[in-house]
Amino acid sequence: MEAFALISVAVYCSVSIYMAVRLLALARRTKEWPERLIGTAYVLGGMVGYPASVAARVLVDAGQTASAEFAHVAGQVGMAGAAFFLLLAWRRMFSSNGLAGLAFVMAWTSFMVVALGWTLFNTEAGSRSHMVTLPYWAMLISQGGCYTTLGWASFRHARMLHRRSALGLADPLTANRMLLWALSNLCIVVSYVYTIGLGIMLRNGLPNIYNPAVISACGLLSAVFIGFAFFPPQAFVKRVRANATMGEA
Amino acid sequence: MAKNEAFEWVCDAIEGATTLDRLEARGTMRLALKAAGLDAREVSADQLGTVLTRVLPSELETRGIADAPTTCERIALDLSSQNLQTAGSGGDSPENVFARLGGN
Repeated sequence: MEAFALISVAVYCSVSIYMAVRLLALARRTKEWPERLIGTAYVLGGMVGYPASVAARVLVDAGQTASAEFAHVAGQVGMAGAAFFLLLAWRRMFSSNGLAGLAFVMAWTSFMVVALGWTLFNTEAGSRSHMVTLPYWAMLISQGGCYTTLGWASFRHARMLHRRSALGLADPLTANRMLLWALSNLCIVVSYVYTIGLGIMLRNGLPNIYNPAVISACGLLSAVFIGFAFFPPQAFVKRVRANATMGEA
Repeated sequence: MAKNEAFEWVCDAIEGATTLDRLEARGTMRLALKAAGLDAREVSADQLGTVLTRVLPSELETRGIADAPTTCERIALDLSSQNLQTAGSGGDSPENVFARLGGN
């Protein structure tokens, strides 16, 4: 089980770093914001937040309290930063109502900052006991909310693109890639829901059902979906195009 | 937000060519756009042409409009000769972003 968790973390981080480098390189050429925002989110999530969060747990188990606390802070700040940049990407790409979208981003960011500060200053950072505290839940909800917003918007847009592609008004490959990105966000949402649910169970004296394989599987699946969504392999491209041609015939 | 001239023009044309009133014409057109996965604020004249010929006829027929395909064809033809402004989705639309991120 530990090997699976380690492999999942390694794959997720590798894919995130690869995506971040390619997206930021693309942003340098195009000077466009969406790729810059998504690339920065993957830097913070895949290079800082996720590995530091995992390291914090390992260090707690090893009794390295001081290092665990540092890793915990780095992990939570990284994850919150990633969620924030993805929220900005949502605003840029999906929000059709400018003022309402901006108000939502500002309100949710405020909630995220408060929840993060509340967690870092009021809980026993890096320890297992902090999982049953209200600040920790608030922080998870604030971050998970960003992924839920983006996931919902990308699912909705994927459905629209599939309808358009049936009329020849959109590229079926783009519709498929949008769906894959939505699925990658869904995996992250599932991991947040699982962790929040676990915290609620523990707080109410219910049995601890924590299984690292669930989080690991979510991370692994998310990494695969992200890879196919942003830089699809040629074989996948050919397959989608062939299916689309068969559908038209 | 600026109005989409092409969408407004098509709604007026439907209202003029059928027995539907203004509200019904706009509602029917919005339903047709939804079925095609499009948004009234961003739809282009070309996309509206496709919706007029392939989606709207069945929507009008279900509302008891006689000879809907011919009516729609005529409106589409008139639309193609107009020079109308559309709001457009810009470079930040998800499909444009994914096209840039193609990597192939």
